[in-house]
Amino acid sequence: MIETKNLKKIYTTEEVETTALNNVNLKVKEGEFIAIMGPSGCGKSTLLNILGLLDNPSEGEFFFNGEEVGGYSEKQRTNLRKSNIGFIFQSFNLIDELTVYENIELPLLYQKVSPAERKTKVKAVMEKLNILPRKNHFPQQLSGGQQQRVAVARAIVTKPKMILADEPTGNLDSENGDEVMDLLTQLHEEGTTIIMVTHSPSNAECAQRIINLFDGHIITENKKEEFHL
Amino acid sequence: MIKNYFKIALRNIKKHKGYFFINIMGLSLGIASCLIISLWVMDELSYDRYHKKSDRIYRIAAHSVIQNNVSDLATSCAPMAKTLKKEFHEVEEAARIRRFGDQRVQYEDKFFKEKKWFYADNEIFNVFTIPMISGDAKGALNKPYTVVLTKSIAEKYFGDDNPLGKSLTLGKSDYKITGIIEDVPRNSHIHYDFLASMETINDSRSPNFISSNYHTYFVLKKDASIDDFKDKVHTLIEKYAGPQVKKVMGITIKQFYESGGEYEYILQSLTDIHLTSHLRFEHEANGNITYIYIFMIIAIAVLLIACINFVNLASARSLKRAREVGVRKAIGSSRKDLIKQFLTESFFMSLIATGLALILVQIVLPVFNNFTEKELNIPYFDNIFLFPLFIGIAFIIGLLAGIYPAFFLSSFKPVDVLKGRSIRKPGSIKIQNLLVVFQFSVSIILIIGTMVVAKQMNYIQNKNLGFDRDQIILLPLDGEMHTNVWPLKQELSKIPGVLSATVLSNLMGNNFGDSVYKPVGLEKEEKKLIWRMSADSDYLNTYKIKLSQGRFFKKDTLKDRNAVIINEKAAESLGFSNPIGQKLQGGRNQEFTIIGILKNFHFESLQQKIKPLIIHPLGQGLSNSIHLSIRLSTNNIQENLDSIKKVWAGISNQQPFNYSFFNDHFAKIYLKEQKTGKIFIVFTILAIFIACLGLFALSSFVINQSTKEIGIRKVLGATILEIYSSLVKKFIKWALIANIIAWPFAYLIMKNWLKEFAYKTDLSINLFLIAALMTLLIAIVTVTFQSIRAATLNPVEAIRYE
Repeated sequence: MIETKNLKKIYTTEEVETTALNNVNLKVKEGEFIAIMGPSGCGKSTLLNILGLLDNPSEGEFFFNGEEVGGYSEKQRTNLRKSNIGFIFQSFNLIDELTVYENIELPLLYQKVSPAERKTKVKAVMEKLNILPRKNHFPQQLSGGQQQRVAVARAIVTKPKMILADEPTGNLDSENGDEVMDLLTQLHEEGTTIIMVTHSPSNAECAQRIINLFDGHIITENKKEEFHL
Repeated sequence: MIKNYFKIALRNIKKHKGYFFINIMGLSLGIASCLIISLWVMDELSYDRYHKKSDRIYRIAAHSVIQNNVSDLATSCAPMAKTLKKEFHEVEEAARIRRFGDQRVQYEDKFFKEKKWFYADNEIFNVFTIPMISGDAKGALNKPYTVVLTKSIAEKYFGDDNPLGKSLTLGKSDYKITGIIEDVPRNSHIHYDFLASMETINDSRSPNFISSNYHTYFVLKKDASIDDFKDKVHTLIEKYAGPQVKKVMGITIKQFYESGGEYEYILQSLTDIHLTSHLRFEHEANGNITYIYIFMIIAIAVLLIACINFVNLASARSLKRAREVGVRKAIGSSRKDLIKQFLTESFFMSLIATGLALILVQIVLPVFNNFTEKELNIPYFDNIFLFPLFIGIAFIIGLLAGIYPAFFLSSFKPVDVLKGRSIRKPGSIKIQNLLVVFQFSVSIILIIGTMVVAKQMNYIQNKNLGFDRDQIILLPLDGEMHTNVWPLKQELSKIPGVLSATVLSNLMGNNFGDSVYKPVGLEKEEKKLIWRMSADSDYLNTYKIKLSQGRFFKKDTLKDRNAVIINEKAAESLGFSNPIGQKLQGGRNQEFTIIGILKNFHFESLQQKIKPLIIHPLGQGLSNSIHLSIRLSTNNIQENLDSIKKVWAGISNQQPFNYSFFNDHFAKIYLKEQKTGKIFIVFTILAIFIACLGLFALSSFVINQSTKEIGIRKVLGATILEIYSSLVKKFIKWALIANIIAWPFAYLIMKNWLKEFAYKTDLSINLFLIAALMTLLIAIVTVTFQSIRAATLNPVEAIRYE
């Protein structure tokens, strides 16, 4: 599903050039669950942003479903993103002014889904994540775990092929964190491709493959199966 | 989607009430001011356009320079209308109109004092559009001693009765009522209540081409060009005026031109008269096109300031909106969607602001109308396009105010904002600065403008006019009081509080007539144009005018029958080395001896330079209109007025006692200027207020952005005062730059405005310095509140904030 060849990302400020990613070669098959690990500043989030089509690489090739998308314009990336990728953030990033229901509905609005269909889809996903009773609450009225469940619901309501999660449990206590990980595992079992950035080894355990980044390089790739053997 | 945008907008409003209050208040005040000014401007531009032929109607006026005295008259000579029709085939119709003010009109036992009694040619109905309610428009004024009345006048005299065929008495003559016409619309440069037949006046048949007592209007034929006609019309001067000039002045028209004289006809488009014509003998004080421009500039400035507020406030909140932008982008919003969203929001806001503005206008208009004596209103029910027009205005303002924030906000990169990286773009700050400097500059220009207007108004109020206008009351005299004026004056003089009383022909500030005089015994016996009036012997001490040489009239003016007093200006103009005792030859070869010279005083309004003046003694044979002026002592004014009233009642034969103070009469002359000045000041204060709101918002923007910086500085040991001064410095810098930009503009604009006045205050540097000081003060005060809050913030919170 995803393949990168010699991916490079260089940030240039007025005086300094920082290489955030250097020659990253990565292949992700459809339905895979991958965890990306590494110390702060190693380029995890940069990689995730490029994979999530939020950012362009400086050099190298990036294939999404067999198509080279590294040079896509913002408009093209937006179009590809909104139908294929769902995001889950560490800080939830719900829109404060919208209710739970409206937050989940938002991606469907951007996909121009009809109102009736929107209603059924949002309702289904809320039921699945057990947040239906909270549908008219605003984000500030929810606990962290509940907010992240809403964020997950928003990420999966469009049934994306791939979910990108940036430290999804980073702001949660262990109980709520486990709950979110269970959700991701479940989604993976249903066939969704998941790429997750995490600091937590126990969260990484849920993935099939763990990629360790250091200074913009991939240093190791561990297949979970092998790891356990 | 739109619903979602509105939802977000509405919830944002609920959540940040203060911010939206400032934003919407500024915007609606701006729109409301703009609307009111637009209504005012549209009204001013609408004058005289109600005539069906308004685009082809012209008035013929005259410009002349005779012995360096410039004279621009709105009037022309008696034969003009007929001559135009006779000489030029381009002229479709021509008619004259002449006002006879202050008449006592009687019907049976009822009588009223009427100020708007006019005589007009019957052709006036073919020139102007005068809707006739009853009577015959074709020949209503054909016969002498006929009159048509406006509807309200007819009701005033006759109630519900039909006035047609009845007669009104004016003086000793009866006028038969031959028609009732609609009242003259308010937006007309002339307002008549009575139109009597011009045939009634003997002088209307005079062939005199060089005396101008009639307002002449003509209609140009549809296919004729006014420019061509302008070239032609001057042939009348040589053909008709020339021989008469020779007779009166003793020189040919050619010699007259060669001696530096000028004489030409001015064709004024009817629709231009109200705003551009300021000649002698205008029917009414006209408007001024300069004010139209000034007010339009203010309207645009106010709206622009409000829009800039909107931009600055939206940008100020961009930090708070950044995360939303990031999230929306991540989950599939394109930049276009976001631009749409933010524009929808600003459109929504401007729609609310426009709605509020319309309510505001409804509340303010009655007050404004009352003050300006207009009847402005928004004709909601007359014009179906009005509603879409307002939505269109809201849309344009929304676009104007929202376009920059929309592009600015939607440009945030989701990666940056979601990760909390700095989203400050170097360019955005510069634009904010630019906008603030612009706002400051506009405010400074307005502040300086306001001060100059106020100073000039004050200058006129307090200028030494050369006579003392305090403590003088005026009694209008008409009809039978003409003959009783001397006994009245004598009785009044016996009241201890009456210091002195005088009878005079022309009141200062009103129009004066002029006449030609020839100095006798000089080498060059050149006729001179001199403004004239007559007064009795108490004129000097009543008005406290200073005598420069010689003496004033004796108590018994009969003894001074052939004596005249001149002012210094006339002495200069006549050219005598020692004028006292010299002789002047006036009309009908009458000779007068100069017995005294008065110091110059402003007998006309301050818009006019002081002209040569001659004063004849006012004796038993009184001139047409006379005024009684009484100087009171400063004590017991009410008591004195009561005594005067008692004397009046004894002599006046039941005429009502209507007195006025000279100061009120004087103020009336400048009323229009005063009022316009006050409107100007009100809108300026509004503009400055809106600009302050914006400044307040911007300071919050800057301080919001520097919260982290402030926190770090505090951690490093900066005191509150140090932080405060570093914040305030920025704003002071902007205010100073704005002053430098604004000063030249303000100087040029106000210099131009002052040009209108013959006597004017100076544009002193102090005004500019005061404006600078005020802007600095405004900047410091608005910023202080926000700064102190930021500077006293707990540094831990500040650092955590970003």
